[in-house]
Amino acid sequence: MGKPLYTDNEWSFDALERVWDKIEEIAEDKYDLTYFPAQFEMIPYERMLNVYATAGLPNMYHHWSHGKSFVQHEKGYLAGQENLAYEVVINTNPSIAYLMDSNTMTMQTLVMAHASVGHSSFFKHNKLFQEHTDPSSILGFLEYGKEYMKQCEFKYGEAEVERVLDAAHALRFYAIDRYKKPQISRKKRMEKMRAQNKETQQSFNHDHFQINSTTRKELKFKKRPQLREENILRYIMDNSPNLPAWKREVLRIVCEINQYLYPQMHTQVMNEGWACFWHYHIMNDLEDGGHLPEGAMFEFLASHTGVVAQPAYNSPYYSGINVYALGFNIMMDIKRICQDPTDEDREWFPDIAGKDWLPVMKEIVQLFRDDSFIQTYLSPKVMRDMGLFNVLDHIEDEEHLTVTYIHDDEGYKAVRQKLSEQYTFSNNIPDMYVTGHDMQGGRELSITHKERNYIGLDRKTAMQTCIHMRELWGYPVHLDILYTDRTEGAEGVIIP
Amino acid sequence: MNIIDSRKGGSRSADRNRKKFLRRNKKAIKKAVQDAIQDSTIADVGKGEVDVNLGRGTDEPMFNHRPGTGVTDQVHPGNDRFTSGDQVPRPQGGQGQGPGQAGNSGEGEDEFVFRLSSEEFMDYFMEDLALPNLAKKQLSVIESFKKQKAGFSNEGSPGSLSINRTFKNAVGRRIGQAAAVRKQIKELEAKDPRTEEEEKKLLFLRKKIRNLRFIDDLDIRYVRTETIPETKVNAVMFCLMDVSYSMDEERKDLAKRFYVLLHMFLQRFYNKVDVVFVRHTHVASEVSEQEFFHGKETGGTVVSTGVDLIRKIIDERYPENAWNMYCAQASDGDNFENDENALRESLHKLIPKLQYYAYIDILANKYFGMSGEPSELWGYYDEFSDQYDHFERAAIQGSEDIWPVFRALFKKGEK
Repeated sequence: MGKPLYTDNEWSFDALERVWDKIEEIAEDKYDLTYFPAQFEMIPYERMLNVYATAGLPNMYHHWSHGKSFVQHEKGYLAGQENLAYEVVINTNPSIAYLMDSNTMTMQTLVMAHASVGHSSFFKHNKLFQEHTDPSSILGFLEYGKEYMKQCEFKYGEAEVERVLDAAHALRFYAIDRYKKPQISRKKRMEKMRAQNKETQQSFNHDHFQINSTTRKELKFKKRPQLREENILRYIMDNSPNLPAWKREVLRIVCEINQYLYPQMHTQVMNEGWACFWHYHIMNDLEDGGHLPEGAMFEFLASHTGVVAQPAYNSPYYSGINVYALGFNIMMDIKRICQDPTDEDREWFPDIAGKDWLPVMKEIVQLFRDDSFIQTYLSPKVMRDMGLFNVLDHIEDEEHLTVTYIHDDEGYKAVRQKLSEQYTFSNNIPDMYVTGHDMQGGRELSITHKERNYIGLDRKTAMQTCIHMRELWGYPVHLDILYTDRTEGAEGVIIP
Repeated sequence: MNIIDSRKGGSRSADRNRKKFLRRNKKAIKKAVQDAIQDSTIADVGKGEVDVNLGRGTDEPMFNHRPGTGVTDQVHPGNDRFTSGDQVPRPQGGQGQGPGQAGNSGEGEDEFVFRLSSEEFMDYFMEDLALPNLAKKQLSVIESFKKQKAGFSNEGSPGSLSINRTFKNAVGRRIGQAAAVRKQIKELEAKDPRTEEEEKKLLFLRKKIRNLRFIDDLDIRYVRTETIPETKVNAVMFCLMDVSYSMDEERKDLAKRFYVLLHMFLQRFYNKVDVVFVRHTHVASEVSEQEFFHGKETGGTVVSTGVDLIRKIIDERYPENAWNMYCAQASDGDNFENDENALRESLHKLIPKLQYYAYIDILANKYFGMSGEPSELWGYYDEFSDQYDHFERAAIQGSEDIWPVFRALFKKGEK
């Protein structure tokens, strides 16, 4: 038994250092985890609110929506309605973790293990993050973006920049390449595009209606009905007939930042589950080694159980499934299946039952994202423990909801399927894509909404969003709605 | 381990984002500011924080699913009673939407309310009144200080060395230190004849006295200064307003803004500012602020009753030598015809006692489409304006006129 690393529950820099060294020792020696080098930043709540407002990204460009988000959280926090996270960590190299200065030493220990070992190793190894983000360059890029916006504000006026950003933000979930396009590297594509922008811009500036032959070839003024481009913002950026170069660059910055945030939206359950899994193990190891002072374990457990608690559907605190709880439960269950499988586990998970848990889990973390993770590893036991059941809300039944599947032999697979669909990000936003633009005639941009499961598109916000799109595109935008489930066919709306 | 201590020093980027956000919602903020002026008492304007309600936020539109449509599945935890096939009544208000949808919907948001700090409030208030920067700056100084001598101290800068006190100390010290030596010298001098040794000692002692330090570190004293809030005297501000039927809410609001501004200026110059509200129809009464701005009264319009009442209040409660008195009258310019003589007499008695009398003519003739035309009362006041330097009058057509009207008063305050 060692001596406790700290005795005073007020944190100090010395104690943090000792604890972090010990955490690293455990993570590296005992579990052979690798992660980005850690950097901690101790911040007061005002800064934490600001971190919230910019999705954790430091040096984010200025925009009123960040101010709005700030005052929203601030009000909630000051009124005592909202608790702030103990930490926020973002996927950078080195990995920056923001720690609240109001945490106790035990909480700092917990959050260091959670963020800088758990999340950081997830960021480093998960394929989605590896493919879509470049943690070494993001900080520099954000700095560049902020500086660029500032210069634009200076040159073209704040209001003008704001208009472009407002419009770009309206499309922020449609500013993402969902699949990596391997043929050209991102950098090269950007270079090519920028060169093209410059050329296009020059020719357009020269004479709005005279398009020289090289531009004509590149712009391919043809409507391509087979096109299904989900990255609407990038499409506008690449193809808008008269977008000035600086606006293109602004859009590019927004696209890049959203692309960077994209993996996070798809890995909430796994990411939090993995981080909770590690803070749980590391805290227990610290306690077992006698490194924690008396009472620290109780504080840790109180906080931990709070984080991974799942209120039931009929609880007043219920607000959907807690990703921490779901993730942690599945992660712990995978370990259990490896170490101590039951017959049921052997039947459901023949590949991992009885195997060495650490390599198995590391591989899972590398290869999956939320939907596929749930689809593959949500076990009957977890479904039973959490009492998961699926409720069908059918538009034609105005009085009732129907419980279609529950956690029983007939229901396991279906519940798992439904939950997985629930965590498929694209199911939660309307399916929108560009089908092309008409450069021969009215230069209309055509986008299509494909209806799924009779879920309608909110007309009011759709109109407003289209107005923003029109602003960027510069010419009318044509919105088609495609009903696949119904017989009526399609209808169209044009924003002139 | 790499740890950065960012506890100190706020984030400027948060401020910038906030400013952008405020600018974007200027309209709603102005309305909130206006409401706050109407609802709070004159002395409290700008002291508290103000909540601004932006209503339902649709300023960040996105493509959203329409709530309550479609065939959706939702997995919930904590099953304690259901088996597959159970039907449950549709919960009220619930759409069967769950965590995935939350936050995506712009329509479902609650009303967005945020809090304006008192500083920001003052900015908007002043901007509305078109206050020039100089006046804004002077108003934002909460209290002025003056330096006052407060005895002496052993420490200080060479500039504040007190030569008198230092010398005094030095003289005293030299006398004290020399006293014992002089006694010895006296004894030795009394001896006659003296031995050689005694001569030597006498010389030594005399030298000792000469060698006493002229000024020792111990003697040095510095003048100590204290920063104390500037003593101001008291002021009383009489708000006189016609509350007859023709003074509608809009006019009262303009009057109130004028009073608020006057109060703020007076507070800058005086320690204590009393506010007395006198309203009048054909009779005058002293009322609470609430009644003053919101009470309903009907009757004729006899200004002299109000002036008389103010004089009475002064006689009873505010001795002239202890109070600086300001009077601001707001009216739409009506007065009962036969009141002219009584008013003239009463005002001639009142005005000499005052520091300042301001008359504001609010939206006179609004209903006759002759805005800007001088009112009846304006005409009466010609002679006062000529006779008294500290009688000012002005016509106000809108809130942006309040400041120019005020400037006259401000200049007087500077004198």
